[in-house]
Amino acid sequence: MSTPTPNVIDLDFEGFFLCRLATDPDPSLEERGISGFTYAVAGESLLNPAIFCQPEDVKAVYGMKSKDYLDREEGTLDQFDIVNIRQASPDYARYNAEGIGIKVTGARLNGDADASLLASLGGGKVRFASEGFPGWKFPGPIFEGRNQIVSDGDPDRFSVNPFIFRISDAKGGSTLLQRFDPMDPKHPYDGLWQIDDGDTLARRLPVQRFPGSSILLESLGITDPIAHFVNRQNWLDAKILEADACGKVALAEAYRSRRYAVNFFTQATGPTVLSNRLASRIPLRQLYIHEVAGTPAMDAIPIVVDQQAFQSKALGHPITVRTDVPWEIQYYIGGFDGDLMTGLITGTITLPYEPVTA
Amino acid sequence: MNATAAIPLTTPPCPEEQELLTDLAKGSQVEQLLACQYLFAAFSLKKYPEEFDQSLGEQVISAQLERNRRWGAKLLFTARQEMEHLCMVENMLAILNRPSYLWRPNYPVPAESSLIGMPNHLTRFSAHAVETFRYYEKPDSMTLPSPFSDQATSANHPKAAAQIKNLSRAFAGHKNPFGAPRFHSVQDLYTHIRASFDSLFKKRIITARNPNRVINEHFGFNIDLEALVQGQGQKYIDDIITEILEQGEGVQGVPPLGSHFMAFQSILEELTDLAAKHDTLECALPVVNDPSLLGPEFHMGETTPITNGYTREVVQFFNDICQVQNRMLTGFFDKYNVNQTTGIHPPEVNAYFQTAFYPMMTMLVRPLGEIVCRLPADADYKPVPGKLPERTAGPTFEYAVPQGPGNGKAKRDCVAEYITGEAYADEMNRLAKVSSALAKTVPPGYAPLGGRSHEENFTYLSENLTRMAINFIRFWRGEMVTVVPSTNFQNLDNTN
Repeated sequence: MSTPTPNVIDLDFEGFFLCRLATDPDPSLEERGISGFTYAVAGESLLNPAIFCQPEDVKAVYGMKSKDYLDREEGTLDQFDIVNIRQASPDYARYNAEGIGIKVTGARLNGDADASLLASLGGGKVRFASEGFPGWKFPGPIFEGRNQIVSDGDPDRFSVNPFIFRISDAKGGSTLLQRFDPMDPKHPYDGLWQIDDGDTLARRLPVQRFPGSSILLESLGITDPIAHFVNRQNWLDAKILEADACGKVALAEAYRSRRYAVNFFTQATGPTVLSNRLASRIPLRQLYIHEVAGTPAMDAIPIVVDQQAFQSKALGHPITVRTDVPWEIQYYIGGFDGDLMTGLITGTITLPYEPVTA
Repeated sequence: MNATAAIPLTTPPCPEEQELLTDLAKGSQVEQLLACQYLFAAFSLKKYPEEFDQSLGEQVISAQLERNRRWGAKLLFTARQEMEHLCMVENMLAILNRPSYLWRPNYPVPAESSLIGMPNHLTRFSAHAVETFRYYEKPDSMTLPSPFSDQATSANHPKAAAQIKNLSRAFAGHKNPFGAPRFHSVQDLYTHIRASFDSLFKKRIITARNPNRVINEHFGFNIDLEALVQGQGQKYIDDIITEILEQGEGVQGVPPLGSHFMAFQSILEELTDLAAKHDTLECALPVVNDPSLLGPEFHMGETTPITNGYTREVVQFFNDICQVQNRMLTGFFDKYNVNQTTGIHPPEVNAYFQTAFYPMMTMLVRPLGEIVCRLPADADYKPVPGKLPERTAGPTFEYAVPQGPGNGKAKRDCVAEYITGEAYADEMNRLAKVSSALAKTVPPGYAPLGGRSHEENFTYLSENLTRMAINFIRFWRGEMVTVVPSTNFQNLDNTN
């Protein structure tokens, strides 16, 4: 008797996201940033907790920086000219080289790397999206906690809400894959504040938390989170001088505010779970595992599968991704840099496909 | 009417202990009065470009918004530390086995009625306001010109002088409800409290009790509290009073970096530089000083009545939220207990712990305080597109209890905890409806000049209150320990 094949495709994805969310003790919908560590500074838009996975999405909403705030160094990514996307100090080389953008990085067919699938889907743009969710006011999904009202913020146990997973073509941008996961299948479009059943909420919360992930630090190219922010402070000091010298008064003050936050929030701030609010979040990542179980009945956010994109020479026949059963997804979110307001997502989505009978 | 609880004194205090209890009550009031003054100033800071005179230009306005943010951060940080000091005062009452003390007088508190020989006013952010705050937090050994005399105010801050009439004068016809001020500063007050404890410990009149009612876990950001080691009550008192003074004005006559004094000093230095460059730049919203909803019998000094109907409803909503919060704080400080092995609180304490600080402070009091500062104060307000009202309101932090001597029961009742969890939930649900109604009745032309609309904000507050009511009752009944379950959640310490 032969071992049954699982009939699944695994797609790996990885990249930096942008999330300019207000942070405790600011209110969750604070727009400027005063007492928390995240600030909307001069030249930027007001804070908005939306998760952005691609730079063009940030550009579409916020546009380009005006000349008074252009300051990226030569040879760096064009995306640092987009409003709200900050450049890091040179020591944070991986982020400065990649910028914002989550992409498909691997493809496996029944557990084996599949070159033809990767050729078709590799570099595809991955989004945690929100378009179509009825009544949604933000330009992306959010980590919704409402400061201990709907989630437990002290260990950063937030879900991504709403949850719409999407992969788009790397070049043309057409949607190759999309599916919604309702927090509460009985009331798929309820706001999180309306869902008061703990078990329902828990399904999409992190299952494991790694506060000192050496794998993550290595991946980010950071050896010492404290030194990471010392470097940032020194760099910001130089940027303040540079902006002052150029007569860019608002930009200089923007850098002063960033430096104020980095300095203040890298000091111990009391016996909380995250006493050093900035440095403690760099090596922290959390693992989420859940199903993506939207149904065709939830037609505000249709299920999309471009079956043409799912071709494997290894299999020798077309693949039909199943939409009648849930998909499975697992992802780490972490490495949040409170100054840049960016973090790293790495994950895998598992797509069952139709078995082909001989 | 919700029934409230009252904790009786266990045994009548001797005269020396009574004097100490009176001084601790003053400590509680002073910490609350200062915290609310700092919050008021922080709420009054402009935070959107549209709130500035547009002729200043984008660069000047954007640069100023950055300074405003940093000043606001320092004010809010200092206010949070006053809340920590309040907790320390309540801890001192706890080790004496006495009930918590959460009452404080309404603003203004004229100098002659003051607990520390200095008046307390709700004033918007200004150089004069910050000079006042710095004066509160200065070491006794430091000589600074008093910002409280009419003369000094008129000379240095003519605009403030015009707004604050009779700054240092007691309200005629009122006696000082606390007796003549025994103390001339915060440092003086705590120095006396330390000496009283020292004397009572030595005479064996008191011993430190209730180590489990002493709160030493953080209930908010930047909070750092010590545990009471049994048999070391005197050391505990010494340590926490030293911490209070170090965080405020310093203990050796030199305020340390990060102290309240230095925070205010640094703001004043920036304000001085700024005044040299832009003498017309107004950093604060036109918030009236010492705003009030209630009549003269509820105040010890002159106030600025808020007469705008819609704004009055919003300010009442703010005061109702503050009152619920204070009731929760009373219950929290009176009943506090924690299993030091498991970290689990009794259900009622957990309900307070999970509600009274955050989200109550962060998700309701703070955003609402900022909303109030953007609403017109006056009944005859006529909206002009793109312009701030000539005068805006501010949070009044009022209790509907006549001021002055007596009224002890009314004062206790207005901050007494509710007996049942349902009473809190009912009140939060009522307030959710109020917020929802406020969202639907924003008068035309009242939109803020920047940021989210009042409709959005009140809707959001209503959602928060609705959910908080559900959460609170579940905490209270022990059906829930945290807002989301941690079953099957692993907080690991490995390297994955």
